[in-house]
Amino acid sequence: MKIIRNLSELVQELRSNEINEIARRYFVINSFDGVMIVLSLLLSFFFTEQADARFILIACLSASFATMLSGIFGAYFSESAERTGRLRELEKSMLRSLKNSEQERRARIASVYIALVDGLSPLLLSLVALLPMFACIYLSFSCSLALRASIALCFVLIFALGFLLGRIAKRNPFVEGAKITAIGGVLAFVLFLLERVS
Amino acid sequence: MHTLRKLVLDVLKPFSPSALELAKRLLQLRGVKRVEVSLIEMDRDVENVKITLEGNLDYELLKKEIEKLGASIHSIDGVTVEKR
Repeated sequence: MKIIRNLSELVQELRSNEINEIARRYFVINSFDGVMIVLSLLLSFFFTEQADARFILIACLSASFATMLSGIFGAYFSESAERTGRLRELEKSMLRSLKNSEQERRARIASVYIALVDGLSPLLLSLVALLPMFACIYLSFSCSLALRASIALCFVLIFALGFLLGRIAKRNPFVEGAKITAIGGVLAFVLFLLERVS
Repeated sequence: MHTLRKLVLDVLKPFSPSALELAKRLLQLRGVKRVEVSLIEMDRDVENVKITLEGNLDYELLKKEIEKLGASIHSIDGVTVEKR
């Protein structure tokens, strides 16, 4: 009974506006980073006509895991430092230590939650984008087709992130989606030029 | 033997948990039948509230819970005790 109560309190805390807002921001920022990194790798392989699906998949997964680790630890350390600083300020105002208090517990939970959102979101989106590459290896799918499908999926995911931002900002989500997708287009153009020059 | 029926506490608390959350948490404690929280003064990070509790009260338990919530009791402004 106590566990259920604690869990419901935890969920309620995590749904509090402040934490959700920060987590949502981190989700968009790092998801965008993660998908852009995978997209840049996939485009490079596409322009250089790389046909080894396993090589492509390992390179993209390594980049995704690196983004995940950097997201988890970067967000945890920065959030934790911010919240500890705020806690110390509050201790000054309260003229007492807040060790083992509800405030300290909440600060810890918020830091872990935000770090997980920040780290896992790019990995999850990258895995979705790489589904055709998995299909290529495990279902004997054409590598060239899988590479094109993964690139297309990256653009769809980038558009979806822009769409989400548009919904948050109460602007036209399709316009916001198109704007952010154009950034992916810029990346494709730059990589295309690089391939031509080199 | 006596029973602590009513307590009026002057408490300094951070903005979070809110007065509503604080009242709900105190109401969950054993013996507490009624909780009233009213704001006295607000500062930059903290607020001063008057908490009135009624029921079959255990002061030590209340104090522990209030401190766990990050607040601290400044003074006991009123007490009602009854003979058992």
